[in-house]
Amino acid sequence: MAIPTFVAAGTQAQTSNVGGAGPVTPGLPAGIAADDILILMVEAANEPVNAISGWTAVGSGAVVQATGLVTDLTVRWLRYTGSESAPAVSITGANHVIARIAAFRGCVTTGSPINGTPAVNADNGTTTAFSVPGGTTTAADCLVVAALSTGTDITSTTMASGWASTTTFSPALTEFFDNWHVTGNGGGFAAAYGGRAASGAYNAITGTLTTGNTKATMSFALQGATVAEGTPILATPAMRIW
Amino acid sequence: MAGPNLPTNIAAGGTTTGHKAHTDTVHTYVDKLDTTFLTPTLGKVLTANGTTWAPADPTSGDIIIREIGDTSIPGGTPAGTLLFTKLPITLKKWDGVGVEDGATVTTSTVGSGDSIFSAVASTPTVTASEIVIANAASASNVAWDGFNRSQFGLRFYFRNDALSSGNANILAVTDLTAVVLFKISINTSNQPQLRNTASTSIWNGTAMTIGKTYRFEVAKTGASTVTVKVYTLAGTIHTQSGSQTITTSSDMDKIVIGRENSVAYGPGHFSHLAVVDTAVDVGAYPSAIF
Repeated sequence: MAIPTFVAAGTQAQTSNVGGAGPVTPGLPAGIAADDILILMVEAANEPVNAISGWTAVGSGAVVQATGLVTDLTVRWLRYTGSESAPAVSITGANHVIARIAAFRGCVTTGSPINGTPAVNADNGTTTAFSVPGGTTTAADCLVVAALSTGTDITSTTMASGWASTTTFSPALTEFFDNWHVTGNGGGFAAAYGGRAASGAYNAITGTLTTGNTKATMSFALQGATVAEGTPILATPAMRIW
Repeated sequence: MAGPNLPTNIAAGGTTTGHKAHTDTVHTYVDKLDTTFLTPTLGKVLTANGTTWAPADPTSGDIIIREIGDTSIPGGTPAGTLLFTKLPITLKKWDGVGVEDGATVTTSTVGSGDSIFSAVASTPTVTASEIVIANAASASNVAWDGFNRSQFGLRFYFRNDALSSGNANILAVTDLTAVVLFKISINTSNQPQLRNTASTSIWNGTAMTIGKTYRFEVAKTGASTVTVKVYTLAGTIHTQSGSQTITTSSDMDKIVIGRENSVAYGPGHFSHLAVVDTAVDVGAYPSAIF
C-alpha cells in the first residue's frame, strides 16, 4: 500500500457577482487518469447542493453553519473513468455557489475511497483561528483532507495559512484549495492534505484565517490502494519480492 | 423575643427576662430590617454609624434598588435615568423555519413560532426561508396590521437580485385609516430611500450591492420621527438615515413588506421579519438562513 498523492486542482467556478443558483462548472484538474479520485468542494449560503450524477457525498455530504455569516461546505467524490466531463453544480434558489475540484491518485480502486467516518463541526466562533476536527483512520496509508468554509464576503486566495497539527503528517500538511469570492453574500473554502502511514486517531488540524467568521469544518481520509499483484515491493535494498 | 416595633427584650409571656444585652442586639437588627430596611427609602441608602441605622443620600459606589418608573435619584445620579429599562417585546415575527421551498405564501404560511400575516398580495413564494418577491410590475407583499402603536422597531433582511426600473417600494407603514406614515423604497441604483406621506424622498442612502443581503433596522422613534439603518451581514453599518421627520404623526397600524407599488425589481428576498414595541434595533437574527 502507499499513501495517495495529490495530482492537481481544477479551476474554481462561482456564480456571477450578483449571485444566483448556478449552475457553475468547476474545471477538471489537469493530468487526471482513470481511477483518480476527484474531490468536489462547494461553498454556499447554507443551501443544499443539487444531486450531480456520478458524484457521491463524503460522509453526510455537507456541514452546515447557520450562525453568523451562514455558510455550508459540501464535499463529494467521484472515481474518474476517463470519460467524465466537468460537472454542473447548482443549488435551487441559491444566493451563491463557489466550487472547485481536486484529484488524488493511488486510492482504492473499488468501493468508497473514504476511510472511516468524516469528522465535522460547525464552529460558532468568529476568531481568525480555525480548528478542523481530527478523526480516526482504520487502514494504513491514508491521505487526510482537512477543509473549512466561511461566509466571509471577500475575494481572496490567501485566506487560510499555518496548517498544523499535533499529529505528525507525512507528507506534511499542504494547502490545495483557498478560494473566497464576493459572489452573492460571499464565502469560500480552504483545504489541505497530509499523509498518515499508520492507522489510528489523528488530532485536530489548525490554522489561521485572515478574516475570522463562523466556520463549517470537515476532515476525512482517502484510503490508499493495495499494491497490485505482480508489482515489485522493495523489502530491503538487497531483496525484491515478486 | 424580637420583632418589629416591639420593646426590647420581651419574653414570650410578655415579661422582661435574662440575657438582655444579647437579645436587645438581636431585636435591634430585626426591628431595623422590618421597619427601616424594608421600608421604601425613596432613593436613600441604609447607613449605620455603629450605633444607629438611618437612611442617607447615596454616594459613589452605593447600590440603589428602586422601583421602575421612579426617576428621582438623589445622590448625583442623572435625573430621569431609570435604573431598570423595559425590554422590547416582540409583537410579530416571521422566520419561515421549516417552510418548504417553493411554498406559496398565504396568510397562514408560517414556521415554528411565526405570526400569521393579516394580508398577502400576489402570492410570494418561499425559498430557503426567504420570502421571494418575483420580478414583476405588480404589487406583491405580506402585511401585518392591528398594531396601534406610536413607536416601534422593525427588522427585515433584504436582498435585491436586479435593479429596479424606477422607485420601487419595499416597505410601507400606514395608520388605522390607511394614511401612509412613511415608506422605504429603492431607486434604479439600488439606493434605499425613506419617503414621507406624500411619497417625497426625505433620505437617500448609499447604494446597496445587487445580490447581497442587508439587514434593515427601522424605528419609529416618536410621533413623527423615523430612523433607518442598513447593516451589512458582517454587522457593520452600510448606510443610515439619522432621525428624519415624517409628515403624519398618527399611530402605526399596518406594516406592508415587499413590493408595495407596481415598479419591478428583483427578485427581492425578504427574511427574518420582526416587529418590537420599542424604537430599538431588533438586532441580527441569531441563526439566519439565507
